[in-house]
Amino acid sequence: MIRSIKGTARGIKSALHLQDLSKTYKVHQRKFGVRAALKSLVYRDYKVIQAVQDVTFDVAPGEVVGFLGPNGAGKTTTIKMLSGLLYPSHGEARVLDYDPWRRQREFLKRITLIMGRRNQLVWDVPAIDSFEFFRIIYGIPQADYKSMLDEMVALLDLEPLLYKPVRNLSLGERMKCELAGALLHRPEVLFLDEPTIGLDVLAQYRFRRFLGEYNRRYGATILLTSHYMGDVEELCHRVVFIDQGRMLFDGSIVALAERFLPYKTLQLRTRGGADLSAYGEVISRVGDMITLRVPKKDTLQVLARLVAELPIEDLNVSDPPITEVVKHIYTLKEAALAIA
Amino acid sequence: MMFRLFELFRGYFRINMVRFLAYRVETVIWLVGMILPPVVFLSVWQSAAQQAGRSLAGFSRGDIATYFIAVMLVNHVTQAWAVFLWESYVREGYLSYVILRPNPVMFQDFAENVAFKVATLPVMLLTAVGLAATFAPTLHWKPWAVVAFIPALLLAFALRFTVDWITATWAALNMTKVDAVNVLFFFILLMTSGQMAPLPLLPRGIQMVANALPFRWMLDFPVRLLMGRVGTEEALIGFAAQAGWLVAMTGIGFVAWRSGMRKFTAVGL
Amino acid sequence: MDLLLLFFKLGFVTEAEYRMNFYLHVFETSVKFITGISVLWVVFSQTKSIGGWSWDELMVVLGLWFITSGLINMVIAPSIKQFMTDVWKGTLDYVLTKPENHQFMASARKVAIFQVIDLLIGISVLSTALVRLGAVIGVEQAIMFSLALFSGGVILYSFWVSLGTLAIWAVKLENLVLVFFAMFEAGRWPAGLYPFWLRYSLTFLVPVGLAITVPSEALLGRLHWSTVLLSSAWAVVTFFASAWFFNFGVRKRYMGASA
Repeated sequence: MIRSIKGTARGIKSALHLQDLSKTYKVHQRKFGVRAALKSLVYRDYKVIQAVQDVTFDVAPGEVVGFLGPNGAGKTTTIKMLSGLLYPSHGEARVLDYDPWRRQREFLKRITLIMGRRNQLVWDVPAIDSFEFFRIIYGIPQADYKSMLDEMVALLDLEPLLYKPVRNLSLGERMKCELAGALLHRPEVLFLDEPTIGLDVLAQYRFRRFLGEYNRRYGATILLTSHYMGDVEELCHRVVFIDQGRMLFDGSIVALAERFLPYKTLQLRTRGGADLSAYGEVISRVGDMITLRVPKKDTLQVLARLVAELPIEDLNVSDPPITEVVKHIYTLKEAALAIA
Repeated sequence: MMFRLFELFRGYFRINMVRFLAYRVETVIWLVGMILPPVVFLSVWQSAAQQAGRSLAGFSRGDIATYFIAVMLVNHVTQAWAVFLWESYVREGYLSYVILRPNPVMFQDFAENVAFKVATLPVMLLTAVGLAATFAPTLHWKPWAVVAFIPALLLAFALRFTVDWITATWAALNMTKVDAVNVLFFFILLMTSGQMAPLPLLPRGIQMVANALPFRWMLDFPVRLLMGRVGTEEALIGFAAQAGWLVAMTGIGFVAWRSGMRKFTAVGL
Repeated sequence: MDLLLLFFKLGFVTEAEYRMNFYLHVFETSVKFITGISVLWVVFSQTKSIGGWSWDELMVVLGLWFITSGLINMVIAPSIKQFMTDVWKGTLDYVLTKPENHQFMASARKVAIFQVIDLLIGISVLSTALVRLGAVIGVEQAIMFSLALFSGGVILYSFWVSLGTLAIWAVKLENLVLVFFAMFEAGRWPAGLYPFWLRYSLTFLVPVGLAITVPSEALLGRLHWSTVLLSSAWAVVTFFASAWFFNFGVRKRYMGASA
């Protein structure tokens, strides 16, 4: 029997609610060298780091949101505040209408946290032993446990992995087991912090497909950070972009591109090596295949001119890949910093 | 509710058992560190008694052997190591997961503790038999004292576990200071709990300090009770002291945990 | 030599990283010292001598214990632990591609500089005890002592190098290191006090007795030349054996982390 989670979450407008959420740290800093080391024996400098600043957004139940930003943007800090590991310095965070930092038992049973760089399965024993352990600590009824486990085994192809010590598994295999273990209690909210880090392309693909399936089946809410745009593109209709603790953007992936990189990419093949810089920015030229970047609003006009003026053999128009968009935002930021 | 607690305990117990079996060699090696110190002090005090040519404060050579073999066993049963556990949680990045489990963290550590002891008790008992064969201990049982020993042992365990828990909560917040605190803790435990000598052998000053601290009730008291060296009146005082300290330490532990978690969630892990 | 100096300097910088570490180490060492003295004091409140050793003679043992422990914890133990980690992670490749003596690099690469305090305490305890004993140390005794101490040091060093090399075969050895320190604690007392099985494991299994008890006896003029020569011979054997073992392990058996 599959209990629908949507039912229990129906009364809530938003699964995640963040209002002016902020977090500051105090960090000790020191310069390099023997003299500085000696000096720091006597007194030390502190620097206040504003890790997260006034982040505000809501996530509806069942929504999958990509949480993007460069390293050190404050993504992990935000996720830790939402899962109850950190207490906010200012502002409000509510998850399923709970205050996360209270870490009430009912709350903890309805969420899960997966960190790609950290294990929660016991390292030296087979995954099945850890699963059995999770069954007991989350108080999962036997029948539910069995059906959920069977489902995971089928979806993630776990059968051959269950009885080997976790340390003997490859990273991809281990992550599959981690994921299964974290979902056994059928959480309604998933916090995923770079879950696919280090996985190969195929493993990443399977991971995403599984997450998508879980989201559809149980209507779970997912907040996902990743540096692999494939993850985001495939799973998230909406992205929240933060940088240096501040929110830069909240909306669909298409809107993100419109806002930060409102260009179209034109790929074309022509006879003869004509100079196309008059039509737009030439991004690459491989053989007689040329890639152009053209402002979105001019696209039609440029296309018309190209077709009229050049002997074109092949033509392809596309939106810039999201990786390009994100790279572009990072570069913009660096440029802005250079000016400041 | 009771059933649920029992279920939970069984879950933690089982996973830790599986773990210790996977780490067989490491577990045995860890035991060497627990067996060696009592043997060292046993040897030292037996030499001292031999040199003096008499019993020391009423402890003959055989009594000294009995005392330290019992110390080894009682120490094993009452041992707590939350400080090490927490350090490994932090080092392996496991702490976040531990905190996010829907059960009290103390309960998790308690089950781990008991599982380890049950897993290693046979080895300790075998060692005790081997030591008994080497050092010729003497036995004077008093039936009532042996019966009274059981609650004394359990109270000693509860007390030590609680004190260790307070230290661990504090230490996890101050990782760089863990070693220093451990060294100090080790010193106080060594001098005042009965680890290095039965309390009557200690100089008067140290005995007075020991009376003011909770540690003698964790080791010296149950061991001497078992040996039948404690009168009824002293035994009653002992139980009262154990209970009193336990209540006080539980109170402190509760406050320490609350403020510890508050600080944790302020600075991150 | 330049290299060792550089390691010392780096050691200083990393340790001073945390201002507290320095004070904490002073504190730790003081507590350890007080512990050592207190234990002796308690035992001697009941007896005048133990196993034929007087208070001041045991202070000689304690002093040597602090010196030996300081040296091990300063250079050898941190470096060998680093070596074990390197083997485990495969980063040993970086060490092996440097044009220096690999065994030297492996065993003196990391320096825990604050351990100097332990050394100083050890030396002061040792000298105080010797002055109080009024020991007139003859030339012969001095030579015996130096030889015995040097041999003991070499044997301990070889022991550690072998322990580290073992990591190439069996990766999880941190616990062996723990056992070493547990047994090392037993070296605070003359090995003669212990029952035979412990005495022999302290001499041959973990050579703490050779490094501490034997030099102490030499200093106090209780040692026959035969023991000193035996210890020196053993030092030579273990040194070359461990060097061979290290080379064998690194050249023939180490295959990087993927192995």
